[in-house]
Amino acid sequence: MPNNKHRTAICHEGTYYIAMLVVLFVAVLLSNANLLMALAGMLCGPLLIGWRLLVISMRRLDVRRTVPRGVSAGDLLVVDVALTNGRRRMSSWAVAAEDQFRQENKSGRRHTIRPTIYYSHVPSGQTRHQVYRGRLLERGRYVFGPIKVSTRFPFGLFRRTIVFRDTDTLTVYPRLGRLTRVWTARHHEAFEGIQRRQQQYRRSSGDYYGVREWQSGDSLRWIHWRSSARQGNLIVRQFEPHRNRDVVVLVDLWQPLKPDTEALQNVELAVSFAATVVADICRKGGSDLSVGIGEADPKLTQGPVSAGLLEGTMERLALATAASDDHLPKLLETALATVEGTAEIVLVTTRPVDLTDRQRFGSLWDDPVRSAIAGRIRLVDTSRSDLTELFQVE
Amino acid sequence: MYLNRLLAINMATLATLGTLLLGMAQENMILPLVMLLAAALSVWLNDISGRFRLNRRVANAGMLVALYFSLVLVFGPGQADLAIYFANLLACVQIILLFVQKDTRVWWHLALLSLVQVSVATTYSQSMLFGSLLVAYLFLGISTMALIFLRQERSHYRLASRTLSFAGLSVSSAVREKQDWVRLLKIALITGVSGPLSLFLTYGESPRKGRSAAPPPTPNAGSGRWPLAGQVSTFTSSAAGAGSSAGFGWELWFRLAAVTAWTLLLAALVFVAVPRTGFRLPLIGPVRWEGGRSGVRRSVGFTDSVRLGELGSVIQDPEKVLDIQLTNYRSGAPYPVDGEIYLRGAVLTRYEEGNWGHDQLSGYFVSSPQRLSQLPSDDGLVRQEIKIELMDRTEVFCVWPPVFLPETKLIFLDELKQTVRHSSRSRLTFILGTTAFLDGKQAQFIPANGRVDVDGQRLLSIQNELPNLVREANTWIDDSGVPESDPIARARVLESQFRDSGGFEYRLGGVDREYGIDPIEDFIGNSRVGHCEYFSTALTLMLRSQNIPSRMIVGYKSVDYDAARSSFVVRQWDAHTWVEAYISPDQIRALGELPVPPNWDWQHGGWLRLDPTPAAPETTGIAAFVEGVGNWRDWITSVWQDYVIGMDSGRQREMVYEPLTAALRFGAGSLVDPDWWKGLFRELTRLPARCREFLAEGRWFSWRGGLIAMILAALLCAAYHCIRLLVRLVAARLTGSAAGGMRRQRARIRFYLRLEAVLKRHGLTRMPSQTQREFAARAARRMDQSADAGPLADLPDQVTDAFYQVRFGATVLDNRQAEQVEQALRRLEASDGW
Repeated sequence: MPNNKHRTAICHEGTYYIAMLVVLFVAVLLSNANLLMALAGMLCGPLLIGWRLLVISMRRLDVRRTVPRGVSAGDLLVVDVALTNGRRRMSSWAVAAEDQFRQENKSGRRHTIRPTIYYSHVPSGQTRHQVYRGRLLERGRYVFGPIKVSTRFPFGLFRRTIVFRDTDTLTVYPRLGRLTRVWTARHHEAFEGIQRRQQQYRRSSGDYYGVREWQSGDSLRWIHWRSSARQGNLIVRQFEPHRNRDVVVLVDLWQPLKPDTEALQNVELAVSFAATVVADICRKGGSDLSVGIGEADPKLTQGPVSAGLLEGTMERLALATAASDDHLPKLLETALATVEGTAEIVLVTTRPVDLTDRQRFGSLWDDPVRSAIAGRIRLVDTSRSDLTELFQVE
Repeated sequence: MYLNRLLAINMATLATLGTLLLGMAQENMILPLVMLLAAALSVWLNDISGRFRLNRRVANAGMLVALYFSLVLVFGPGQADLAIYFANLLACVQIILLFVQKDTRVWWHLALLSLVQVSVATTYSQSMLFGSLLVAYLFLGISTMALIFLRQERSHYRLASRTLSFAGLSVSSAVREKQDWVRLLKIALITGVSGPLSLFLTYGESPRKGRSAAPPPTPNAGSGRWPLAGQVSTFTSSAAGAGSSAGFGWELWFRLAAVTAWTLLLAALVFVAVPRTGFRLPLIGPVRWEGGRSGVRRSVGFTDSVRLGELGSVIQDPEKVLDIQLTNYRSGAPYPVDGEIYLRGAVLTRYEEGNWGHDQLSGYFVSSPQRLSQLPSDDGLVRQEIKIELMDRTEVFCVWPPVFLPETKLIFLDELKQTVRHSSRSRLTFILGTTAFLDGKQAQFIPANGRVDVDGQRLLSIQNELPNLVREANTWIDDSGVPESDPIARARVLESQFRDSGGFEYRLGGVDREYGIDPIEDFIGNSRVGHCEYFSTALTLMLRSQNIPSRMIVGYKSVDYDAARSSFVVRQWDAHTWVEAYISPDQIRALGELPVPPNWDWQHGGWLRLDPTPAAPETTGIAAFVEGVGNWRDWITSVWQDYVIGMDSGRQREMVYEPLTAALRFGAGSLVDPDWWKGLFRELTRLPARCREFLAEGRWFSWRGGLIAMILAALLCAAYHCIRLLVRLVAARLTGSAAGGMRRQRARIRFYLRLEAVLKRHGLTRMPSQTQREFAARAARRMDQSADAGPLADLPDQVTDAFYQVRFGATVLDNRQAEQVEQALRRLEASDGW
């Protein structure tokens, strides 16, 4: 803890106490009363000895914060703060730890939240855990720290503060909503046709990817006789389960130069919808997923669905910002240049978009392959009032 | 709850002790008794049970009424003592505040009031008991301050934990009170009427509340399709465990005791270091700044009058009075002395009903200061260098007869009282000569240095009839057969009867003398026990009864000779009285040959010193222990009187500043003095050898001492455990920290109460003898027997586990655990039919 900063300040009570002491000493000097002098001397004790005890009681204290890696906006966040008293003999009393955090891209007192935790007693050599809870409503990356640990023990005349400069980050993912049956039904409609076509190309219920020992219940048709002869055991072939259709989710976060409340809400709805779709796809599994966000230099996050992909995508969505520039053409161009023709493309946008606008999306319609794909893009406009038919968020 | 009760008891004790100190100052115990009663009642009725509380208006009215009566007493007839009335008023205000609903402000006010009370009391009472109680008050004050602080912190953070914090608002600011200007105006108005008392009145302020738990509304709150629009992120702080008794164990009290000890040390430093200005505060009124000693105790130290028949022990005070260095005047070499020396302070000649005093008539002793120039020779002249410590007396205690040398300054001979005095009140070194030494001993019989008038019969006067004393003297003289012509032998016979016969006993403790008769008659006739004043008085009066002129001398007798410095150290406990018998020139001539040093002249007769006081009997066993304790008590009392109460600028300079300066000078000088370093090195090299010698002598260990130490340690240990048990029992009773407190603590874990309520609905009630786990097991067995409730049989155990974790593990359930407990309880509450 070399960077930890120590500071001792006098409190209001301490100021009053010193004022009272000064008055008493003046009275003593004027009166020459010895017992009054003794009493005044005794009153110096709480001031000086109390200060010393205060300093000692803050030695070898350590604080550790445990923050989850991520949490969805609006969900309960529980942060554990552990205070360890590393001294061998002396307890600490009445220690307060004030944590603070803010969004990474925002600074200043106005954007900082300061929850405080109070430890009434931390015995020597022990650790006490306390938690503070709350809900973060804005997605993004939050920076936690530093933590100020302070106490006024034993008399409240001084406050000693140690600033622990350890920082943590937390990503607040977009709030997840619920996809309605309408959306699910439409998704299945689009998917089933493709699946039927894919069945024709596959010889069994999935792609062959390896062998394993025979187990009770395995079909005899799966036995790989050559490997069985070589191993002396029955060996069966393994096939990947059915694959779902690959999905491309494109997010166009446009907002006017001076966005009103409605525009801001549209952005959040778009991000939330995209995140919900991505989470749904990842939950179902069996497909490749590509996610692109409208930016000056748009990039696609893609791969077979997995927890890692979900986390990465959520992180991107959490940090995505809206802009008044029109990045949609470039986003579509990037996406269509990368994805397979069979993938389902979902474009989530915050504004009405006419994909047939050849002037705006010229590169899309000039290429027949791309124009065929573009024809299958499913457009979700979050500014439309009928969004609730597809998606609901609470 | 625990903290509040602890604080209430502490504060009640503090208030009572503070008022007791004030009562000691006023020598009136009514107010302390009233405070004791009020404090006890307030703890029980207000702080513990809450059955009786004064509301704001009644409390304010009570304080104003107390103020009114105080003013009436101050401005009414009779002598007003503002400080005492003020302190009594504060006691009344304290009593009222003890019965109001207490918040942090009231607690601090109570502590402040008590402090002001004690501050006033310190300017009045100066007894040692007061000082001892002041130390106890210090510990109580320190612990009260700590408890008030802990309560304040806990209240603050518990309030904070119930307040939402959000961006731009910290917990501190969340619970900060807004400035109430109307309240300030009220305070200003009341201050104009009631003065400083307005500090302790209440002005209708609401209990401290933080800002609204809800964050400030934003213009977009609740509108639009995005559900989180217009809301802000909020967090709740945590102060879990702030209501428990954790942290109030022995360690806290040990720390506070350590703070008290260090504070006492610091106070001592401040006390001796802060300079005394010598001013007197005129506002305090008739304050006895110098204080007085206890009526039944008096110091054996020097006084220029003697009063027999007083009760009480005589204090053995080891305080140094002076040291006297004796050197040969001619050669300047140290003059070795064999035996004790007697230093005269005052001469007492007039005895009446137990009192010795001076005859106020002049011309009784005709003498003048003997000067060096008047001596025929300086042969045998001894120079006495007397360093007298700071005292409130002007006598220069010296070996008699004094000779004024050329270097003698600032002293003069008081002819009336036959003593040497100085004219300075600070510590001084006085130089005198004396011709009293002969062959290394202070002579018992020395020439008178002036004419002695015995014609007026004053040195032969007895004043009252003392039949026992005279009869006894006659008997002793008759038995001895010494003729009247040999007064010295007769005097020695009487002296020997007191000192050597074994019929008399020396004792410093008080003796209960018979009322109505002269104490010396009682001493001779009834109780032959007493201290030196009795023996000297008896001998003086017996000598007078035998027609031998005599007088009593008060001074010091010292045997504490430091050969290295050729000086005697004289302490207060060396104070002594002895007798001088006058032998006329004719009687001296009749005695024949006498030593005739060159400076001795018998033309005016001589004075024979007689010391009739027997040696103190050796005390053993318990008596010795009691005496030792008594000596320690005397010593402490003496230190208290001399260095606490009697500390003034002069003593401070003598005791602190000058030694400190000298030590610094010596230290600075030693650092550059090679001889000092060599000496130090030499001493260090000798140290191991000295240690070996010490250990080889076997004096470092005593079986008797070890046994006593072990017994004492065992007794202390037993006493500690008994007191601890007693304190715990009382504390449990008063603070509810034991069984009752645990029950209340349990009651606060509401989820477990819900479990008990659910199970009670199904006819399951926990027995007092059952633990929570046993109860859960019983419930599970019962539920297993039911088809409907069978799947739920694990739930009571699950809730009970959480209960144990919270109740005994002092931990907080995290979100997941809390949710599980909630789900379990809901399932149990929803279940039916078993």
